[in-house]
Amino acid sequence: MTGSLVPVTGPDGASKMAGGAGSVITLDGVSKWFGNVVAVNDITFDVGPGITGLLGPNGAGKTTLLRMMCGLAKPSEGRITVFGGDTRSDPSLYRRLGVMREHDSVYGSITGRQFVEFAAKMREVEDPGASADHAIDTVNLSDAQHRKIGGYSRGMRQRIRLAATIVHEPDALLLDEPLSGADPRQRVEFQRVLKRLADEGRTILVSSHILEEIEQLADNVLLIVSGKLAASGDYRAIRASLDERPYHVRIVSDNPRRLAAGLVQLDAIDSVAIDPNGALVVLSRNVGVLQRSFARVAQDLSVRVTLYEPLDDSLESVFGYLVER
Amino acid sequence: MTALYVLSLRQLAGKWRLLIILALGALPVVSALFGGSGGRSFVDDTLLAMMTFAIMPFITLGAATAAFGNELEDNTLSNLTLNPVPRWKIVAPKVAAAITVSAPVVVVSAALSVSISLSGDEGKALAAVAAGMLLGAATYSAVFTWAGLMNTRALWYGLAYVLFWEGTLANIANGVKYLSIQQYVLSVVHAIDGNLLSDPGRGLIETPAAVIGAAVVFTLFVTLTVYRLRTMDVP
Repeated sequence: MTGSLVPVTGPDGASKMAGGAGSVITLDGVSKWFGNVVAVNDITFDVGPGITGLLGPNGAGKTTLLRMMCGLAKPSEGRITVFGGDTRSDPSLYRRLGVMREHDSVYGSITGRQFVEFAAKMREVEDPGASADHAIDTVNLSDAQHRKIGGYSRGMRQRIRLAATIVHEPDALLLDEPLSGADPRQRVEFQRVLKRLADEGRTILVSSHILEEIEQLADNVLLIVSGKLAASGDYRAIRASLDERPYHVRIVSDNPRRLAAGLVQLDAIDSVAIDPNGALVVLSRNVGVLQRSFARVAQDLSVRVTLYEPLDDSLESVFGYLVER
Repeated sequence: MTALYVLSLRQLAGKWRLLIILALGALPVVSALFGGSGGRSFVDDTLLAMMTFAIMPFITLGAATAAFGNELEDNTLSNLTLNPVPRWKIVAPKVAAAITVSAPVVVVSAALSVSISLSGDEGKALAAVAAGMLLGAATYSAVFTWAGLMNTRALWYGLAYVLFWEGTLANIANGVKYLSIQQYVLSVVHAIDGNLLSDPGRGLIETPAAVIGAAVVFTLFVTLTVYRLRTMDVP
């Protein structure tokens, strides 16, 4: 996966992205439907070494896509290859593939150590004990490894699952919302581990519905909206596109008229209005400048602001904007 | 396969499941104690009937449907399928674990109750009952392991199958007897000890048919389970 933001909807309506050399995971016209519901619609892309983010709002089809990539679900249409093969017909490919699902799928009655060793044995690792030691150490869970998983916190369970996922040192990792439920410190730790694994030349695909998570992790993103590949490419290009989108903000202050007069002087402001409740509603096409300048203007005018509320900053609106472009 | 077998045993040997299985296994023994030395007719008409129509299928149903049922319920089946092992290496330890949990209880329960009824001097009868129960537990385990992977409500479907097919149809329709695990068990018991179930009115099926039938059912359902695991969408 390379390049800047790429519009991916072709004239035939298919979601496409050109494949690159060294692709590890390849999807070709993949669709999945459940009865009348189309969960994934004609998606084509390649994923190569490094960290790639699979970004999209909840219900966009990310998990279904990942389940098909790792062989847990069969595509209704199209073809998926991992290392050139099909995991559903060739389980030996799991020697090179590690999968961490969104579900908290652990056995509560065994210890973290037993869980990771079990994973190592199931993947026919030569020295399960040593491999488990290494994997548990990688996720910094050595101290708690002999406690039962049922007593772990959510973050600890995430880490022990990651240890089980990497215990056989796979060349590729598919991680479904791995940072879900982790606290800020654990997120940083998780990101450090993933970046190190990527630096070792592994292919890592991480799904998330949170823009900032992907921003901190992945240079390349695949943007999924309503089961379709809406955009793909460099994260920074997508971020720049977001900065240009129309952006409504509601501001409650002790002197809205004076603040309005100050804000309209900024180039970044398209319009300013006062709603029936006396709050300012500002429209801007340069959210970066607005966010940087707003506090300074309010301070210079001695206006006390009690609320600064983006009106259309939901993830769905962000994705919706990108898809419409 | 050993790691999965051990894990499966731990899952199946949960406290409540074991208590229920042991309670079911105790029923024939209690019956034998109350029935006193009822002799062969008591063994034929009460103990073997109770074991083959209810106790053995219910115990194996409880153990084997949970072999994959646990994984389906708590979303851990992917921990098994996302591994570089042929699917039969996942199914075999599961079936083996189901047999390991159910067969000893069924065999000991039947042998003990028969021993009480026959005053403990009938070695051949004990061997016959033990062999029959082992065959039945293994065959039922294969069927119910498959059912547990097919449906999360396998316990109820299995119960309906035991009561309707094994308990009713197999006793009134001659052709169905050749497709009944209960009839395979009774035939094998009689083949080893001709004094048990000797009433010709029972219409037991031929022993070779029973042995071959059990082998075919076992192999068929293990194969179906492997196929199901290979082709299903894992939740």
